Amino acid sequence: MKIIKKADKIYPEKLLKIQNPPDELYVEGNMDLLSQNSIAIVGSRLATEYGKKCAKLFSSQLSEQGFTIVSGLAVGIDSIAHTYSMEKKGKTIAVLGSGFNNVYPEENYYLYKKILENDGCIITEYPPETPKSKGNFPKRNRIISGLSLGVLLVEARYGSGGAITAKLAIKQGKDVFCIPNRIDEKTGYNTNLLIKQGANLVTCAQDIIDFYIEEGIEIQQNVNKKEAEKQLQNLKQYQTIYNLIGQLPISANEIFRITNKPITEISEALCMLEIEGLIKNIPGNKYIRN
Amino acid sequence: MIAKRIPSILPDLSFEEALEITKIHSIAGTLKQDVPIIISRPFRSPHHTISATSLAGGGRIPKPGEISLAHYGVLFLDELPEFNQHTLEVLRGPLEDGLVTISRINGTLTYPCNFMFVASMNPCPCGYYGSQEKECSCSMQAITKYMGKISGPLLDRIDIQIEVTPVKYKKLENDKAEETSEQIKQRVNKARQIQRDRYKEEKIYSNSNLTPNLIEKYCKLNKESKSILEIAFNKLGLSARAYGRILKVARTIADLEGSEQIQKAHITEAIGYRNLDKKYWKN
Repeated sequence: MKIIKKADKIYPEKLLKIQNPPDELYVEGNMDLLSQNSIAIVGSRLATEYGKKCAKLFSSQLSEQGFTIVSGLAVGIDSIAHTYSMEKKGKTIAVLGSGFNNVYPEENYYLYKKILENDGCIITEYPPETPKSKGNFPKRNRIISGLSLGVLLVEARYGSGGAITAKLAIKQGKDVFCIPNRIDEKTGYNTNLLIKQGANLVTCAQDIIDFYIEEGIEIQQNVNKKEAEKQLQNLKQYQTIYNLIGQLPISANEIFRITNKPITEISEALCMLEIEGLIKNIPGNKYIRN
Repeated sequence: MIAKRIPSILPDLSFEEALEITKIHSIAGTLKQDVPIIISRPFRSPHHTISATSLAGGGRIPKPGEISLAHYGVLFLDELPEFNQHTLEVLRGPLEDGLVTISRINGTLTYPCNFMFVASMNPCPCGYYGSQEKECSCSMQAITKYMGKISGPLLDRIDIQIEVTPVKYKKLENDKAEETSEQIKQRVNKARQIQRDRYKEEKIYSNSNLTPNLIEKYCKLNKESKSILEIAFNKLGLSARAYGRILKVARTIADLEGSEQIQKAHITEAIGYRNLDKKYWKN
């Protein structure tokens, strides 16, 4: 662990520009990341399948394109953002709201270690023994947005942590990107609200990349692409069933009603597609594309 | 509702099985005067306030518990997470061995408990997690806590895990002819007969009694199925216990269809029955 003081040369420049930068930063892992181009991905702890999916997609694609992903190591969207940024050897920064000896939530201690193993970086403004406390989490959000070029809000309830981060980002003059959510879903209320108020609506990672290319920011690509199409070659016989499964959840019964194929054949196809990681079985006994 | 109807499709008892069941119920003192021998499979569904002792058996001179009274029949635990966790863990050994050994100061007794374990539960405290109709109002922590009451080792011993969605009113009204319990029972009896014939020399009655050695002998897979199982194993992170159990279930599905060999479809179906833990107990 290293302690960086505000007066130190290595203190991230980006943080000096925000309104109340932390006096001290406790850092573990790869410190170089703090000065690189990064995007914060934040959102609800209680994420829906849609939110999880979006977080996964944006996180893996943005990190693949060379962005460092910043998030808060909370459960839900945060965890997914961290996990999938590392999948393709991308980099990630986690900002804690407590000291290093009190990683919160406890179940993410494994993720904490995984980030360090993957050459990521963990920072906090609190000394190692600081316990978790309610007030610290909104405070650390200013570091999350402060370290990044922009903040991607995946889904957020009214007044939730993600919403606070977005608000701080606007105050700090950062770019705010929002993924549109269903209007009847509470989890997406604040995301849609921000879009109404003028935040950037994004539907794919390329939108964000294009935005920064226009701004003239250079990003180094991280080439390591794996295509789902290739996998499908071995599973050609299941193509018709795969085509039926889309972004909206569908159950085996519905597939049966549409295709009229024997249920054994359908369950075989679903099992094979799931094993190959092309589709996913979600609560409610339905399937969506992965 | 489904669980209550399970006895209606259970296979008929053989004479030896009937004798064993009668003996246990006689020891427990629950045999009625006018019933000399029990000829139907027992169905036990204790309330969730049951203690570990009454489930496994016990007392000064150990009496058989619910698991032994369900011998060759069904033990049904409704609302599984409501049971005391300590009580549930008692099931681990018996589920594996089909025997329970109870030691008390006055003696040590071993009772058989070869039962079919059936349990039901909601996905979360409010019951709507994953529902398309109504939004779940539980916090993620509450859901994790609720699910956490069922331990991994116990879950691992459940061969078939299925998620059912609520039945819509229209369907309840449906008068389309569907397979009746009577017809299903005939299929089950046929499969049982196949198994009995196959295991004549092994002194077991059904697929569920297969030991690891016997699994190797009777659950042979063709190359394709083997590779599927291998991929599933690596990708889904199944345990060694799950391996044997998937094979047994696949063997049973094949028997129900009257197929001598375990086909690819049988193996994938069996794997598909073990996906609940992936969905609900892991991220």
